[in-house]
Amino acid sequence: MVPTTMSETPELHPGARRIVRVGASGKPEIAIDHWQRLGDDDPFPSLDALPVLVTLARAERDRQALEQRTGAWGVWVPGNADPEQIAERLRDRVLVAIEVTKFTDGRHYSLARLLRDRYGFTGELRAFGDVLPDQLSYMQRCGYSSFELAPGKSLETGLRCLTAFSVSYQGNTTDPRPLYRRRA
Amino acid sequence: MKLWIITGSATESGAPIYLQSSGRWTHKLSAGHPISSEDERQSLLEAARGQQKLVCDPYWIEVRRAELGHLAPVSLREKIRAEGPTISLRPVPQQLVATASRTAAASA
Amino acid sequence: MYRYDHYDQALVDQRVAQFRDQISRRLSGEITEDEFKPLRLQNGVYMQLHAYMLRVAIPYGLLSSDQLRMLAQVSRTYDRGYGHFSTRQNIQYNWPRLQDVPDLLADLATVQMHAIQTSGNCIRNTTSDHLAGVARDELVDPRVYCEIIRQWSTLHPEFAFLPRKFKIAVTGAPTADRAAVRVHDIGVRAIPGPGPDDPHGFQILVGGGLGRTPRIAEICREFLPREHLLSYLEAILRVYNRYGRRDNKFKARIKILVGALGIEAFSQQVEAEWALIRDGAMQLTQAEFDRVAADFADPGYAALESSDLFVQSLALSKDRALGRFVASNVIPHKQPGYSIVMISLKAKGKPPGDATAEQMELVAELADRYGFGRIVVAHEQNLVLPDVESRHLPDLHARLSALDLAEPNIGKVTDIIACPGLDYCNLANARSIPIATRISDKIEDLDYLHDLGDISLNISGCINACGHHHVGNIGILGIDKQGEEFYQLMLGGSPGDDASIGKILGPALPSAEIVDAVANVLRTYIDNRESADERFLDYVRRAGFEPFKEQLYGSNDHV
Repeated sequence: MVPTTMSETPELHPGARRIVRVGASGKPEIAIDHWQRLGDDDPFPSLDALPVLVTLARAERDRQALEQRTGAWGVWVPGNADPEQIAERLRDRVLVAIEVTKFTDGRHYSLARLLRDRYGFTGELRAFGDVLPDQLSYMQRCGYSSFELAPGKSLETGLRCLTAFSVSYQGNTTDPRPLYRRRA
Repeated sequence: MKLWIITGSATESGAPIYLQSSGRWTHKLSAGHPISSEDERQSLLEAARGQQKLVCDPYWIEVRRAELGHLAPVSLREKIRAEGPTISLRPVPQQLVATASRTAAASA
Repeated sequence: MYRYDHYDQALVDQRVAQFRDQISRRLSGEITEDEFKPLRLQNGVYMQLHAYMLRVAIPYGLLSSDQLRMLAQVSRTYDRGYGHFSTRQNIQYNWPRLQDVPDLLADLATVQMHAIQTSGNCIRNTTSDHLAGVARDELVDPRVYCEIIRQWSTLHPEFAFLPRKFKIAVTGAPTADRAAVRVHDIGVRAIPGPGPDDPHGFQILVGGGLGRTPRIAEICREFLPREHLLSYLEAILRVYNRYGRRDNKFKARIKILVGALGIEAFSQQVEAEWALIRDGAMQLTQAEFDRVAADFADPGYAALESSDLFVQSLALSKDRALGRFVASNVIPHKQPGYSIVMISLKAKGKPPGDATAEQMELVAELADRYGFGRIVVAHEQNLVLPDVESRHLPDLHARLSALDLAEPNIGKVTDIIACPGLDYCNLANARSIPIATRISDKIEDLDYLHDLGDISLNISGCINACGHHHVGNIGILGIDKQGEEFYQLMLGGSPGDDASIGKILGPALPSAEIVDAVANVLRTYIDNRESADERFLDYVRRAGFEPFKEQLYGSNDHV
């Protein structure tokens, strides 16, 4: 199963990277990730077991080739995509990655939340692109479960940012109840 | 001939600071380094942009030689920025006295 | 007033710790200014001309005396001993150093205050009627709903990076909007239920705003049952977050989206979104209404006779300073024997809305002594003591006078709303405060001031309109004309139930002429009004601009 945790694979394979991932326990951790994000004309990686992320257009075009590979495949979509248009085609994927083109463009938060809450996506939901540590907490609460930080950004800071708050007024994907239905 | 100075806001305080010929920053506009070529202006601005720990959002302003050769900003905005608000920040005692006497006169 | 429980307190404390961490990473160089900017803005830290500025939230304008004393104390410890009350019921400090901000915020957190979302492209401080809870014409106390909205909007994970800033205002007085709800992104108006036994609900207005493209809000939904308030707001915000323009910051406010789609199409989108969430977990519970409302219950008023006649007699007092003060600064209270006292922060020669630490402390002390320890900040940049026993009015007036806080000009033309302008602000084109002080200096005769009656005069130093010039009966907009400060004069604006956007009277005037022009406008009104009962705004609406133009530009000098 990819990505694997860091302790199992101490050295980075070429093409692998470290990401922040929220584990099954809900605890964020640093993990090594092998997913290869492909443009529409990029060749598949020579190592057949490497999992790949493709656009929806390519998923349609190369469906057969994707199914024949050993590695898993997922889809990456832009942050301004319409969930209404794409949710059906994402539902069965183990991983969907959303591109954050600029961290100040907040459309992807609504996209992530709707994919989770309205369209029932249960796989891994990843943010990549202009992903900065200080926004991870908002992202997680909108349903993201893994984060490929922008180049040069500290994963340790990312982990710390994810645990900055113990309380929130709003509900989230795992518990939709706002605080006023949880207060004790 | 036009003259410019590189300025920005100090990261630590937000105060206006000006680039000196030594490469250091000063709070005194008149101690800033006057630039007369657009090439130099551009290269100094780019260097300043690399000093984010010290300065926020550097840019250039036009200055002129005032009396005694001192450098002075051309725009009102930069004049106010260099010299501070043009209003009294807190009521001065005389104003309180004046108000008190006005109130007294009104009630007399 | 609302008191934090351990959840509210933990959130505010953790926010301070988070921002402390962010500031230290900025100072160490780990994050760039571009990355830091949205973080600091969402914690109220701006960069102005001379220094950073910190805007502290005063939710719906309500303060306890302890909170006001803390605002005074932090102004001394970390700033220059004064603060500026803004048109959005907040307070601004003009000189904090970045590394002091976490300590300042930690001090504020000890009195349940914060600076969360006072700036940035997120949902800002929810504003309201400064007479909430004490006005005679109120249907329901809007503060209960403001607090519920405050909590919903605070650190909302989906709406922290909207296309642009987002402002919500709530009024509980259906016939007396003092919260300017029609010039907000969302205006919430409490209205009676459809039947006599039905509980009240809300009319939801959307797409109002000032700035470059002033626009009066339109009705998005005629009647919203109150338990759906948050899901409906969430639906509006989601439509805006997804479809609001992000390519041009001057076209990014929700009013542009509403204008482009038309209110019908916009509200259809909102309704479609709302239909999918309205019956979910966001529905408000009676327990939550009750929990929050309990904190806004009336203080322990004494059972007293009506003081209306007593107050009327004070207004006619031979002590003209007291008489004028009572006539213009005292408002009838819903509780017999009590009065609402407005404290003008527009004394002559002073920047509108500024208060020194000493003044804040005096007001806190007077609130404790005469009024259950509560103070309200009005969006007109004044303070309110909402619960004063009327028999104390003369003593209160005397105490206020001692610190220049008894200016008898509430609602009068010298009760000027002004933004900080070019004296402080990075965005301004021209100064605002000196124009305000020159106008109040010009109108020296207090009898003349009171004869003019109620006139609002609003000044902005640039098109962003923080001084709300579009909705002043008289509006002044500072512009930069080839390096010179010029001012446009507008007439006919109003922020209330009869909301209207002022129109430009004629060519902009240089700084040296604008104050005389205002005096000229006032004189034209006095000379031509039907009677003293015809308000300035009514006169402008009846007579139009011709009489003013004739007086002001008649010589063709400027045309």
